[in-house]
Amino acid sequence: MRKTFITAIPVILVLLALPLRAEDSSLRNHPGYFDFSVFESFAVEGETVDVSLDETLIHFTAASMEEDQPELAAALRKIKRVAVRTFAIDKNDTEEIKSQVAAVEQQLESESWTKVVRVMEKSEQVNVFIKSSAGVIDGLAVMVFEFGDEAVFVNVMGEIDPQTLGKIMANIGALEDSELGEFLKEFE
Amino acid sequence: MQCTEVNEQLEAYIDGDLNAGKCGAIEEHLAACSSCRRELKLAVQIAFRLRSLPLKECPPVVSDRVHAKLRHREGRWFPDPFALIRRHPLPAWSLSITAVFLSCSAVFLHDAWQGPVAEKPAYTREDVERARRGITLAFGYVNHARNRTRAVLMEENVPGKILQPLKQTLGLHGSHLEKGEKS
Repeated sequence: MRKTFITAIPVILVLLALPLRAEDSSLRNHPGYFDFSVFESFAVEGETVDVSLDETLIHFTAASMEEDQPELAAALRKIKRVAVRTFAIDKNDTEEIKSQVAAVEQQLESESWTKVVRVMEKSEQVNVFIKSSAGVIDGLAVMVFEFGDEAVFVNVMGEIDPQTLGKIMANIGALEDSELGEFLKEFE
Repeated sequence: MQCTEVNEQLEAYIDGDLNAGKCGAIEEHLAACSSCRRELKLAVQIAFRLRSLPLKECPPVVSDRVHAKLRHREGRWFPDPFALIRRHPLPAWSLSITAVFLSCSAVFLHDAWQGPVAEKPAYTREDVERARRGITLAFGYVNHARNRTRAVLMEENVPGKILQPLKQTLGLHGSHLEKGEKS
């Protein structure tokens, strides 16, 4: 009898852990999930921001906007994940970061992500990728590298039609660059 | 002592349950009565054969009834929860299957339970406000990207269905596409 229980315990533990794993993997298996952890090795000491909003919290936020901005609330309900990660990067790592970016771009393209916006400047590189299917954006990924200063990664995941994206941009994302800095400070 | 009386007490005599006085009286009668001696011999043989028979296990139904009556007598009215397991010990594989089944049930119940929980106000006003600002921050960076003077909308990459709405959303047009620029 004791042997039986000893045999059953690992099975029970594994199965009880399944919901947690399932939750995590359902997020990672979403076509719009963008994993930017590969750049974490370039983080140097400095200010960092790590915002990760799950579907429940986003929907709660949407509910709080229902009365004042019903259109925006409806648009937000289509979003499953919002993640923002920023950290300081060293100027000496610039070339290595650039080659890593190129590798990640290849990886994203092989996974049917499409680069839709590109900014290539000497001191800054910005890339916006989308992953879409049947006219709907499943994921949006933004990579900003201000070499010698900071790296920013954004991932928005859900079932976002471009009009929805437009509504959100018009209502909530119309920040000037100077305001972005103020916003960042709140999360540091 | 009469033969009838001796016969009635023979079994107790063999089992050694009688006191010395009664044993003496029976032995005195046996010394004088050949019929009762034969009865004694027969009773001893029966007792010996009964004791040499292999012990048989008490049927569980009988055992449970007896235990239930005993518990009732002792004031314990509730059934023994392990009686069934003791009565029918299960093989290891069947217990493992039961464990897997119960675990799967727990998983489904957990999932079913997640739904209503998600509807409850599990977040504070501060959480929601922070989330709102987090969303603003995320889309602020999309805005940041499109506001760059050298931002290029890579039209050739954008799927046809979403090109026009995306152009409008991002406020970028073909004119942004630089000559010779490739994906």
